Amino acid sequence: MTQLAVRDREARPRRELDARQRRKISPYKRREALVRILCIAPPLLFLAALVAYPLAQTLYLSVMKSTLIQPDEVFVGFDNFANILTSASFWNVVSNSVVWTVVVVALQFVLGMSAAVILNRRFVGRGFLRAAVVIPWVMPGVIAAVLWNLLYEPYLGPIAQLLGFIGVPAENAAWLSNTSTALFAVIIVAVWKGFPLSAIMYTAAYQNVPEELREAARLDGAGTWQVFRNVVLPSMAPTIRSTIVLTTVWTFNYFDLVYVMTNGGPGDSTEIFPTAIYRLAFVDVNYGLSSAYGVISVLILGIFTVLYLRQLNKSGSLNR
Amino acid sequence: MKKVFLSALVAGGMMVLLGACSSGDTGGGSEGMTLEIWDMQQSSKDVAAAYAPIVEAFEADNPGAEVNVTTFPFAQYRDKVLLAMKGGTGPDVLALDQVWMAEFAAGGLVAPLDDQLAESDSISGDDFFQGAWASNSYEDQTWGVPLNADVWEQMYYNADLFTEAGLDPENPPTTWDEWTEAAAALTKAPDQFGISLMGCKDEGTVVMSDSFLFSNGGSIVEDGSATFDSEENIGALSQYQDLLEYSPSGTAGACEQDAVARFTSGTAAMLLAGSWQQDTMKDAAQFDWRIAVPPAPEGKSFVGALGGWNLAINAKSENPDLAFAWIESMSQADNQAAVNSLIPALQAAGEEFIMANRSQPEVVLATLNNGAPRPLSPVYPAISQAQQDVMQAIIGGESPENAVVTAQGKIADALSALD
Repeated sequence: MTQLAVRDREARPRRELDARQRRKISPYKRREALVRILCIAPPLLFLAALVAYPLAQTLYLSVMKSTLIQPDEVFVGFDNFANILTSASFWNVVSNSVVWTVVVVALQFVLGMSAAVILNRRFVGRGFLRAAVVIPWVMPGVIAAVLWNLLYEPYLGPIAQLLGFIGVPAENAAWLSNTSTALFAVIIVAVWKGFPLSAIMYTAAYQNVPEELREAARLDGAGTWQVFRNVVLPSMAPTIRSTIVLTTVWTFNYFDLVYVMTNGGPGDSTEIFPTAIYRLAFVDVNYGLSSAYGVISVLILGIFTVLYLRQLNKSGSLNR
Repeated sequence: MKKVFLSALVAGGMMVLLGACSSGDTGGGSEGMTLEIWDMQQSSKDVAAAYAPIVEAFEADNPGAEVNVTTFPFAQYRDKVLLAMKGGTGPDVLALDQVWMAEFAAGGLVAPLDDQLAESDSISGDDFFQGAWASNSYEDQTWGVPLNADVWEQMYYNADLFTEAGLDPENPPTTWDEWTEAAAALTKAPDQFGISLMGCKDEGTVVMSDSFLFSNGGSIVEDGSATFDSEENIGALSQYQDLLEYSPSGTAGACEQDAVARFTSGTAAMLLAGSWQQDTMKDAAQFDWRIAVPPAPEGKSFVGALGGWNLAINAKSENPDLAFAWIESMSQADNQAAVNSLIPALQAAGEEFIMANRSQPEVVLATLNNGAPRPLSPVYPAISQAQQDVMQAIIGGESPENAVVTAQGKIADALSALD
């Protein structure tokens, strides 16, 4: 985040420089422009090949009937979209995805913020804790999923034994195999796995809040909570905003945990967009339908992000 | 000027790199032909090492040819194959699951082998297990040659726990009623359960459930129409639901390895699994484990579901003749025995393999000889999905009567896409 801020500060002088350059173009400048174009050509080509092409291909396939067993692509207009929007399973995926994303992001925000506040206090072992908190984040998703599958094991798993030890009547509940608990069981893992990123971002932002500001507020008679709410939080607003957008996008698209832990089950109680798209693309091998699903997923995420940022800008509640 | 030159150099270098990436799959003339082979990694067996001498001999027989064998873990094999075939960069010869054959044939991804088979001296359909050979037929053409075969499943049981519960380990249950009674007698929840059932959302659960349906005379697809809504299937699913009461909680999420782990740990006294799990038992089970032909309904005999892998040739292969020569070489008994940790599909080699590698080989042979294939349909993935949904539903407590109606609709829907 500090990087972004720095870039903002630099942007203005550079723009002025550009304007000055434009007034007279010497042959030397022209040559330099050519060099610049040549230098950015390779990355642009790579971007075109790696981003633009798959995107165009997905859009193209989303209006085609194209499956493994019927490889000749036939234009079907918006039939794929109509099929998806009228199926009951789609609305189940939407509701699962919304619950999954909202709860995970909200809990990651709360946990991340708490960790940031705590880790900014001075206490013995702070350095160790700051490093340890990152472990879930750097752990590969598949490994985290397998690890938590073991933790959740209804008979031998530590969670079942702990619950039994403290006398909670869980009766060897298989959290991951019950339609009413499976989604929340995976959500807990996703929060654990992802909150370190929020913690790191918020720790950095917290440290950037000028001590004088806090002191001034305290002198004006603000209590701890008021200082946090009215001084610290607004100063951290840009970081919070970008972190929430980032974690929302990542969580919405997060595939590994659900795939390994429940494979969308039991029934379809943990099916979310990425697992549904995977199933259509690699199990049913229906390229058209899975592309349309992908387009819908990107649209939902895009609309959310735009609305969220606009709302924040308008209300100004988290603005500096 | 220097800068311009430098960036031109960089750009040129990029082009060379990009070019190098795309030139990997071009073959060349008759000399220096390359053959890409993809196989699935079946178990902990070192398949790559097993292939090495076969590759060496093949290259000696076909001077100038270069053979590359690549193996992938089962979990990612289908994804890899689909991506490569869609992108047109697939291998020349690839192992395909029996239930994928019709799908790949219908999609034009693999080549029919009838002409080459008619001319071949070394491959004869009669030498293979019949179910394995038949799984290669689609629309009156033959699309592959079997590599290995097996059947879901045998019933593993813990003889020590049988004795403890007052049951005779020499006479495990043979009928469904006896089975449920034995499961009840063996259950001392939450420490011990009668049977470890699998039920997670994957193909393993489907094949296992097929053995219930088939043993009760039920079926899934007959002559291209859905036949799932039947009394036989309802009866079979009811039996599974009865046994569920004596299975540890969490069956809806239990895949093959989970079910096996509960048996090897002594948590459950009976288990349905294939003969390949004997390797696991030898390593992990610290008790007197045995196998039996799984119970069947009164007056009927157990019918398992067949599985296995076939070798097929990519329709886009530039060297189909050399590819077929490889399949001929892999259809020799020695080579099949060398690379397989499943049962070789050649009947003679397969039976020899079972006698040498399996305990109670007569039980394995009995189930193998009485197996029935899963539906050979291009929409098999959708059929399997419908069956997975059935299992999840009845584990969740839905009545088999309702579940078969739902599945019937889904399967009919999937089949209608073929019209």
